[in-house]
Amino acid sequence: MGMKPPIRRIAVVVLALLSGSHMGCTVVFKPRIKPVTDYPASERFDLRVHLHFDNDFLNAEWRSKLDRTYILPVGQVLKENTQLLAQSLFREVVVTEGDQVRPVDSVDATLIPRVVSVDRSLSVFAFGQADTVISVEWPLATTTGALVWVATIQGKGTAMNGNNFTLHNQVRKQLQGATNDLFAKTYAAISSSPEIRAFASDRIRP
Amino acid sequence: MVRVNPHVCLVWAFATASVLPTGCALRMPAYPVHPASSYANRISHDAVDIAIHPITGASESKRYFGTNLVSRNVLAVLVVVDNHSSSSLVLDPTHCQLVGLPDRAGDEQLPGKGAGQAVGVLSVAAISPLLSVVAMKMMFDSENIKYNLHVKELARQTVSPGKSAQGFLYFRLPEGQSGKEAGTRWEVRIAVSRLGAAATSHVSLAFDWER
Repeated sequence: MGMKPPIRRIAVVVLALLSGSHMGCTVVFKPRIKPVTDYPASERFDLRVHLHFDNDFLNAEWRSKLDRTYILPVGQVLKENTQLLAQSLFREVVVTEGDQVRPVDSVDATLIPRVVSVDRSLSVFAFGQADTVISVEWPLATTTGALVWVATIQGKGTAMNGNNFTLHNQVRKQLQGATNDLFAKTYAAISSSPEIRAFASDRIRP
Repeated sequence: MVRVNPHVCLVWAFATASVLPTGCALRMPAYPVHPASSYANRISHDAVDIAIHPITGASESKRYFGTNLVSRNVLAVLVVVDNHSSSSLVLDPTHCQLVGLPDRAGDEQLPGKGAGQAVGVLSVAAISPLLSVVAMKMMFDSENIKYNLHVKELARQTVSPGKSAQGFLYFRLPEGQSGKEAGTRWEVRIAVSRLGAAATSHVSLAFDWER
């Protein structure tokens, strides 16, 4: 009849794939994003800092059950970027991880970041705007636990919502944007903090 | 026999895929924030201005949070802190509280209320459990409302001299009180301390829930 068999087969396969794609299954996003490294050159704080990642931080993710269960792990992305951030802000950084915070010798302060929330706003249309927002608390404390400074900073990345074919790439764009925004803001907040500057000045040994 | 045109099927399939996922989008605007000194419920102490603005109206709540929170037993309170002092402050939402007070007329409208006594102390609620209260008929709405609650939430932070902080606290109201708050008196206790202080201190601000 004018309908060539290949087209008919393609139509059947596409319909089958699209129908099946909305059945209950889990989608885990594994976006590869570039780490944030372009921090402005400025003088580092003369501090040896113990940077600790607990398991909640390392396992942080966005998870939502919509037509399917969607999971966006962010813990490892945040860990990598936090290490780079800390190394650009402090003279020396000692990194540990795990549920137990073990004391580290001869450090001036401890930084144990906490992921407060990972959220995504969703749009009705695939080409509508969707945001990913990551909120992290950054408490810098003395070795005895006295708070030196704390801020909770949100990083926001915006891209299209995406459809079945573009969703992963759009999520990657959102995560890249949120990470860039989060770490740029965090760098600005820490480097300009009068509380950390005063603490570092007090720690300078004669 | 009905014939299915494969070309039409392909167009339909791609068109469907291009608009998925579906749902109802809820994009809420940022809440406009003003200096603490411009709010009706405010206090100044040691060159620190602190103000609150409870969201008790349905229309305001729907506009900025996408749902009437009070009808779901959740009270959102905007907190604004302007630090004009020479000392740094620490603002800690996890230690903030909402306290039901006897109203000015002495009416006992809330259970267990005694004259001059707080009827109950409510701590700031975590957002995830709130979502089970703010039950949405659609998952997409729920995701967007959670997003808005988090983005507008008051965060733990240092407030340096000359700086400001603002955001919302969320309190879970007592069960069965929805719609009965009008005419009652409440107090928000904001945990704000000087940096380096040994203990957390509170600043209290009372407000009347307008009838």
